[in-house]
Amino acid sequence: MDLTDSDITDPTDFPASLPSLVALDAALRCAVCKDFFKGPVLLTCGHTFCSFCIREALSEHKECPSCRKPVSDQSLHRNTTLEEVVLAFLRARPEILTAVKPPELKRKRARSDSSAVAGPSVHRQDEDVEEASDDEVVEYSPSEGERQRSISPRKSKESTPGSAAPTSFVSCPICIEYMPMIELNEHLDRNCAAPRKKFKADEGKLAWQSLLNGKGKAKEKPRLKNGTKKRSPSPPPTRMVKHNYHIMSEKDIRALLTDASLSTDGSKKAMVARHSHFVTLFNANLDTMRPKSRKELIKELEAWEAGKEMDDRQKKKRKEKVEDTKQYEAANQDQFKSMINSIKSRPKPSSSALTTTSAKFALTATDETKGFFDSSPAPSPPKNLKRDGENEVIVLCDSSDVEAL
Amino acid sequence: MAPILPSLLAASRNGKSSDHLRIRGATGSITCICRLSNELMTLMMSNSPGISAFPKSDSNLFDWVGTIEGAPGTVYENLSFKISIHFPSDYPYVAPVLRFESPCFHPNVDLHGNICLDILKDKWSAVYSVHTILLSLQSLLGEPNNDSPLNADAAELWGNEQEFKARLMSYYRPI
Repeated sequence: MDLTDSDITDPTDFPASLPSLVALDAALRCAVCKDFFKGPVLLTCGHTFCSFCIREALSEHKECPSCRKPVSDQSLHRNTTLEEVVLAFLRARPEILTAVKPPELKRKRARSDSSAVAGPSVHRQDEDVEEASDDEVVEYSPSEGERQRSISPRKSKESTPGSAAPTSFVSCPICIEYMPMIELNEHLDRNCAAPRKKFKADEGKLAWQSLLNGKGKAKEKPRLKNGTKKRSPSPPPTRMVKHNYHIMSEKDIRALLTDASLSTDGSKKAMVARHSHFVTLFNANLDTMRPKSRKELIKELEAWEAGKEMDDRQKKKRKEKVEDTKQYEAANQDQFKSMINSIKSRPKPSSSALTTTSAKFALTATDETKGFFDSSPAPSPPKNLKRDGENEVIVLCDSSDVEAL
Repeated sequence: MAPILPSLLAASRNGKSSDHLRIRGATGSITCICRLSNELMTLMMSNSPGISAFPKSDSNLFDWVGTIEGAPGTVYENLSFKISIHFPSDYPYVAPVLRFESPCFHPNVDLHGNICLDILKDKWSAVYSVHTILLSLQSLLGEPNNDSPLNADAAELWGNEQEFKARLMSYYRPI
């Protein structure tokens, strides 16, 4: 999942003094998710979006998000060239960032470079991005050229450390070596010695695996299996189709979900949403150069559902209305009384008219203004009564007017 | 409001402090979080006159507060309005929910602050952003759609600038 690479980038990472680089970065991003294109697809109108983004958008409206020309998800074409461009830029990006960094940071970096070893740890962040998608690939057979490219930049990075975001870097309190924050503890444990490269690389991979899969070692075997799969050209998996769910019975939908080995919990509506979202995820995944495993897709689906549930709960909360106002008033009488008393016991502000408004307002407080009272602080202490009192009156008038509206 | 910004900025910029994004991220969609933090950055870097928005709290990227100033030359000139923005978990595929928090006398804004704007309803497109929405709201202030009013009173008064301004000011409360 992308969240594990935690570093959210955006065009403003480049200094504003270099607008062309900012524009280049922005041009390689999808207009929907504002992230770099993942499995870009070309629409008939000429616009390009991430496969997932456009499929998701099409499930709401069957038109291009940019120009509103009608589009169907059958007419999407993979834009592999653009994908390669984006991958190449992603590899170059940290190096460009280092090259255009403000001079002081550069000087610091240079000193640490000459004084000690350039740890491979420094370029971990961007390597991780690739690693994350590398693992557990269902089928991915890189072309010869691609494979070469994916190796060479990494080697060259060894000589240009410090390609990651500058903010996460700290300098070691002992040897002043500059390194990512996460590396510092280990570095100190080694008595400021250089990290052992081979070991580190493995460790990094393992750490990522455990992050991605929830377990580290258990992954070793399946990975080997996938490794062999990579070489043998397997037929391209067929795309899943969205069905006309509303004419299907609950039983049919349950069967669909079981076929896709998905959970069959929840209402019909929830099941339909689950299946159609999985279809989107699955089809979008096929448009990428490095497809994720089914397991990862299911994880993403679960995360999506959890988010949706949370949303629904919040919506319900917001819609809660007080039906029986009398009963509500009786139940919350104590609160109303204390509010009225706290207002009554305040010294009179400049005009008496204001006090009457606020008192009247407190008396007529209904469910709509309840939120306001809940969030307002407890009655002000007598010390700064004058100021608080004034403020409160202003606020009260404000809300009472809203109500009068 | 000031202390929120640096930490959120830091969060979207560097990995280690994005933990609090992850709190919601564990349940929310990744696209949504990535997109929102990107929008926040662009919004803060671009300087559009009379428009601003940022998350209400440090821990929740899904509820924002925005302000809009009336465009010069309109009855709303020099007035500013507070707007709450709620992003559903399937944003940007689904439109965010916007509401005027400060009272606004306007033909397309009802008494509870609900807004009638086509791009927030059926004309929503995933490429719209907070920035574009706030811009269109700003222009809606000066050019209401009087054919489908939410506030019939305001729609009727619109032709009479003086009276409209008087009514507007009687409701208006500075932020």
